[in-house]
Amino acid sequence: MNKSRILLISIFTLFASCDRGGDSPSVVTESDAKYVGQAVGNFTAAEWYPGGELGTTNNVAPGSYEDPTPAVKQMGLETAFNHGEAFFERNVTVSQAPFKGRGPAAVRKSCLDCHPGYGHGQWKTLYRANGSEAFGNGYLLVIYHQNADNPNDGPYVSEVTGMPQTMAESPFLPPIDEEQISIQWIPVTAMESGIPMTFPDGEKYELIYPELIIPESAFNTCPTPYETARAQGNALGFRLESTIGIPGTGLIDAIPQEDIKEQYAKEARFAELNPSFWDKAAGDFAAGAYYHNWQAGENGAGYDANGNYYERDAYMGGKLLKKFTYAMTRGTLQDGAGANAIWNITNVSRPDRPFLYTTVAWATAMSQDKDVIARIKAQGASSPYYVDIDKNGTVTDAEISEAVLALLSPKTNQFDNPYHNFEPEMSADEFYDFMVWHRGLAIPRARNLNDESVQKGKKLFTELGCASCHRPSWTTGDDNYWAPAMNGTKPLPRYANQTIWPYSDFIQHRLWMKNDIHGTWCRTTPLWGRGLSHLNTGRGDRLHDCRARDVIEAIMWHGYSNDSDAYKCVEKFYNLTKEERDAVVKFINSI
Amino acid sequence: MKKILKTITVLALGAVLFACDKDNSKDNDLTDNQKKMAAVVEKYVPDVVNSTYKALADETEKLYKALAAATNKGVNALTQSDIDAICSTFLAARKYWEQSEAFLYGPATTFGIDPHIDTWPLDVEALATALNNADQVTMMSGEDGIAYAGAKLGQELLGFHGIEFIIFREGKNRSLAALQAKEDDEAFEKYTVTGEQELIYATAVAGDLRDNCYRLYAAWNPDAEKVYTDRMKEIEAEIEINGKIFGENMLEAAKLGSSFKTWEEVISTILVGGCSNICAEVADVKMGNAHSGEDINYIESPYSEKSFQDFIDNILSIQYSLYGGRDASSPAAKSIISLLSDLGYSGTSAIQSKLNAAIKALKDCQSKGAFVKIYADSSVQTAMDAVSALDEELNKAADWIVKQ
Repeated sequence: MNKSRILLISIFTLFASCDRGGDSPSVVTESDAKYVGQAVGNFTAAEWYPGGELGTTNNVAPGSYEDPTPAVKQMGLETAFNHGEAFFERNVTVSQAPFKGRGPAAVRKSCLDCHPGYGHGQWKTLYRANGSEAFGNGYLLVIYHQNADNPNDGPYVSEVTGMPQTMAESPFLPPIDEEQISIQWIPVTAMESGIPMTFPDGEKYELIYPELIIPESAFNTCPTPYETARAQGNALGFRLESTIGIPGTGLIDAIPQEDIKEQYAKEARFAELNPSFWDKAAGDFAAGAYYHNWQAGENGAGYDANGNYYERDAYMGGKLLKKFTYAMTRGTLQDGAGANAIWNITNVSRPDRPFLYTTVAWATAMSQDKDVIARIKAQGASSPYYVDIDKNGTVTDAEISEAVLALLSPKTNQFDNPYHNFEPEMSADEFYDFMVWHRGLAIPRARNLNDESVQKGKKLFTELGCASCHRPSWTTGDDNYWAPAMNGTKPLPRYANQTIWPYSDFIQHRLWMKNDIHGTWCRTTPLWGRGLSHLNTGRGDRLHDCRARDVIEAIMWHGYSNDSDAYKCVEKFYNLTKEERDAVVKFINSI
Repeated sequence: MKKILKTITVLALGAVLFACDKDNSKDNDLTDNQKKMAAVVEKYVPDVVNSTYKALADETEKLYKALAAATNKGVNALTQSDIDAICSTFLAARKYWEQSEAFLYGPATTFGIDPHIDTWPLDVEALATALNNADQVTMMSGEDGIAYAGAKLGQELLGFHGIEFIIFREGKNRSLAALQAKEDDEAFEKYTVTGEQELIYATAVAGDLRDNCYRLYAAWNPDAEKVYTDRMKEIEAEIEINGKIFGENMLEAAKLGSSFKTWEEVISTILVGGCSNICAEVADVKMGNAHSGEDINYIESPYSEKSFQDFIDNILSIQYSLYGGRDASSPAAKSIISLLSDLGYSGTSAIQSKLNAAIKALKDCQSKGAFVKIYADSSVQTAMDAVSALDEELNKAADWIVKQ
């Protein structure tokens, strides 16, 4: 027997799989090296490439979340991709090029703080945007007026931004003082559904959920949200929402809308869907399902990938389906969470974003703060807020106050106003490179599909009903995407006619968890690539507020309530043997 | 950073093989090739990673002490020799950091230490505001100043480049006269910031830098000496990832409890997750963004003008990883290069020639001037191409070895 043959056999027979406790019979598995790209067991050859030929990287080492798709190279977009990446990775400063313009209020200074290793935010016991503890802290605060019938729901407060800010540049105070925010993690003692917290074989699991508290004294706004709530006679609700991983998001943009509509119609026969999105009686999307660019005029206009121009809301006849974010608030990646975050998280203006992401209540509070006025006065003419409004040669406190109120207001065009005209802080070309990078991030290939336990996990995943919402596969269309007019017809990575495996239906469901997500309805999170989270980010926390610290906890939270859309699946999962449970987990970590 | 179609490389990574039975895999369960891989890693972890991080930890400790001594002495009592000595220590520490960038996976990434100590650009305007704030300068003073800096200043004011700004300008050691005078950088124009305040800041940042480098060493080496681990306890810094010291986790590959399921996975992580990643970063980002004209401001180490030295040290980091020892100029018997050669990989000599070519191309650039001045020169493109060629060879080798 030759040497290489001996080695090959040795590799294949070497290791045996161990479960979490290491106390079940071992199962011999083989390396996946020989099988990548081949049909194995109940997996097709295509399933090794979740992003299809154009969207998958074969790299599964640390850093694999950062890879560009093959489409980026094929289209000759590497230089733009590399430059765009820098905007994601680096800290945005106040004025030091090349990443400048942070503030005057901001949610974070860096994308990477919230998406460590390009992945999901990490479970934390503090909310921190300032200083070094911000790294990995992907939490966003959600502050709303609680509805009387459901404490998870209700309108956002208007005194702070939808993604509330805890950072501010001198001389201003942050809208919220983060030092006063507390997060308590509370253990679940019993599942509301009655599912025991010990599996039939004796293995236990633990669940925790967050209680977020922000006292009134933390708000530097006028009025405070508490004052408004008291006037309205309601209570404030506080929730955490974490960032999700970003690899592969460009591929989701390429899924045909009509195919998603078919999925809605199919699911509507068995489950209640969000009536804001699906009109069950009409068998069609409801008006709320469509995305309308929130920017007026040319800033809301765009081109499709074939070079056709569209005025605001004219793309797809004004019927572009929302499919991004937990709350399904965005219809296209090019005006989605990342495209907006590079503006509003850091408050960096650009030609098509001339307004600040702020509130009148914060602008008012700052304009009335004597210390703020005094500090601006001390800076004199070097401050943009030191404005001689009546042109009489002197600048009074009242004039400074008026300028602060106007220039911090979200309604004031920062490039065209009577007080001080700022320059765009990010150029159109820089934004284009950023979008090439964003749309160009690959999804890593699948792992271990040759492993029998992974194959068993796939079978169980389907039998349990998980695949009903975590739909395995989609086929992209011609990917004639929309992109903002600011960048003309410059090309972005395009993913036409690819079979992809994101494991999501891109529809919202309800789990009815304790202290659930704001709005209760939550988009099914794509599962692809998540098994590489530990390798890329050091942690593998899951669900919208990172309450699940591993896959088992995430699954069991789906069964916290009898009313959960996933309750029956979890009930079946609960009754699996340990070997079967481990197979499901291994499958989820392999796709 | 990125590798397109990194072919089946790492693959086997995912690959795999799950550790075994209840008693863990034993050495005699391994194939001959895997035993050879294990032997390579058993040398790589202590002789490359731990050795580099220990040198880095010790050099940053020296830097902190030198800056603390200068602060205590007072800026007006300093001599140019004092400043020059601090600059030399800084460059020595900087060298070890850059020579560690072929193993940024693990603690450097998981704990966010890389961006914490090596973010650029420095936010000079924010620094001017901070140093003009008497309360903030007081908070940075003394031993407690380290904790304050680490927690409150933020990455854009921390790390090597903050210290670099204080002790270097325009490619030269800061002059005594300049340090003793009012800070004259444009961002400080409206303030009166003195050398005393700047030294207080640099000392606090150096203390935080030292602590983070201690953490790198302690998080990799389960046998790290008490002085390092005690400091981690004192500042309550986590050093385990998923309950394990990372080097130990790597050396226990293929055993129950290790995140590395196979030795092939470890070798691929070193080659792809480590060496290839820094190749791509140097060629495509560190040099590429400025040279391509995408952003001429995107230049690391602008105050000391040592960018090319940083890049050379990055490639040396790859060399040492491949050769099995810090400062190794030829492959050790237990090294990745020797392993590839032993297994009959036909591209082994190509890796070495591309490695040498990359370093030579970078030295050619260095001989022409500082990167900040010659970023558009054609020699930069030559160096980028040479580093990318090395990257390609590394990925080919990784792809090959996991299939053996």
